[in-house]
Order: sequence, then structure tokens, then C-alpha cells
Amino acid sequence: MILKKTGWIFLSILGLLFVSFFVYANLKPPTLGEKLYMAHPTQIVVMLVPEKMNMADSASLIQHIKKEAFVSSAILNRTSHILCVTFDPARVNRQEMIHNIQAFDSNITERIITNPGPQCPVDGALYTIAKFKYALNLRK
Amino acid sequence: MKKQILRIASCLLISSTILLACNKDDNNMPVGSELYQRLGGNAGITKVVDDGVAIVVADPQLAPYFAITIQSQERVDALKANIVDLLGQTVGGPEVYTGLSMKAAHVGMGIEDDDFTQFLVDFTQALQDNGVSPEDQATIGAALESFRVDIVE
Repeated sequence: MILKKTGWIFLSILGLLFVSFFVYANLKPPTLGEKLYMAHPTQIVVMLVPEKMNMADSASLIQHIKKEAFVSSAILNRTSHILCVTFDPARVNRQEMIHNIQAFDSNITERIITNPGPQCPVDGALYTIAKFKYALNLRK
Repeated sequence: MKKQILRIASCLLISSTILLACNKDDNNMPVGSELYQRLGGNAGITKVVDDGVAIVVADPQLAPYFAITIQSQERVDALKANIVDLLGQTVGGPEVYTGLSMKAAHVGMGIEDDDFTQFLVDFTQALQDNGVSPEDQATIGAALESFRVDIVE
């Protein structure tokens, strides 16, 4: 009897919390930036290209990567030899993207970070909550 | 008692759904300034931001600030969503930036003048790569320059 009552109280509190979060989620429409990246998330891979890669090969590399429809951006900094590719994770996963790049030149490796420094303060956990809030938002 | 609670919760949910879903403000999106239109609206700004973030991440001077961010899809998308909204709002679009103030977002990061200048150089490159005219690049550059005082420590 007590267990049943406790169960009901617990469910009622959960229900109330859900309704409150639902109302909070719908107080404002999502921002255009939120709508964009919630509906079409992107992912980045950062690679290191060999220092000896010349201009012609660099241009061919970018062409090779950009010919794929799931790639929205490919930037090669010839000073740092860092290649940054932005792609659609719904159409290709990270490993496949890396293999796609390495198909051009197997000496292109994933960049390992050794000196992170102070970080841009976007919180992944808060964004996950924002995604749940976006899912409940009827004003999108 | 239980039925009463269930009835109240259902009424709350249904009434809030009706009230909020029927709000008309979604239909009154402003078109945006001429500069915003020339940039290609939200789609154009998104392309600039995608390229701009990639250029910044590949920049040896600025890459350390994003080293951990780029390992998480959520953090990258949160960053880009904020920049799209900030840039869109800055150029007179309907976007509304709802993130932290520039000062609050960058406090304690030790960002120097050189770093901010390099960030502007990289973003200007993204504008140029996306066909934005030199005049519009200068206008946007000047607008972004106004954030220096809050971002640089």
C-alpha cells in the first residue's frame, strides 16, 4: 500500500517535471542557428598532411574530398599542414570519412592534440539538453 | 485522488500545447537587412560559419583553443549555432543570439590581441571564399571588431 502510494507520488512528480520542462521548451521558438544544427548536425575531422605535399597535390586533395556530397567544407592550411573537413554525420561516419581522406594519401594522419590550452566554452552536456528541449518545441 | 491528479496533469499539458502551438510570432519573421540578403540569408551565413570554423581550427595559432571542442559533435554544433545566430543578428538578420555575453564566454581564456586579429583574418577569408564583396567584408569586419574589447584580456 505504501509502495503503491510512493510509486504514484513519484510518477506524479515526474509528470509534473515533464509538463514544466515542456512548457519551458515552448516559451520561445528555437533560434535559427539552433534549428539549423539540430536538424542537420555536422561533424569535423582534423588531419595532418605530410609537410612535403606540394601545391598541386594539396589542390587535388581538396578536390578529392569536396567531390563527396556529404562534405560541406574542406580547408587545408599549408603552414600548419592541418586539414579540417566538415561533413554530414548522417551520411558518413567519422571512420569512413578518415578512410576516404586516407584513400588519397595514406600518409595523412589524424591530428593528435598535445597542447589543448584554454577551451572555447561551449558545453556538450548543455547542448544535449538543448536537443531534448528542441524535440519538445512545437514552435520550430 | 490519482484520477484527479491525472486529469489535472492532462489538462495542463493539453492547454499549454494549444496555447503555445498556436502562437503567431512564428509567422512574423523579419526579412532582414540588405547586407543579410546579400550574404544569402541564413543559408549563406551558415556556409560562411562552416568554412570559418574550419579555417580557424586549421590555424596553428588558434587551433589549441578548439582542440577539445572539435572532438565532440555536440560542442561543435553548439559553437556553430551560436556563431550563426551572432553573425546573423550582427548583420541585421532575424537570428537572435541567446548565448553568453562575449565577455562572460571568453573570461579566463587569456585571449590576446594577436589571437583576435588572427580570428578576424580567418573569418574574413571565409567571407572572401564565399564570394562576399570587399565592401561587405569590411562592414562585417568592423562589426566583429567591436567584440575585441570584451574578448581580449
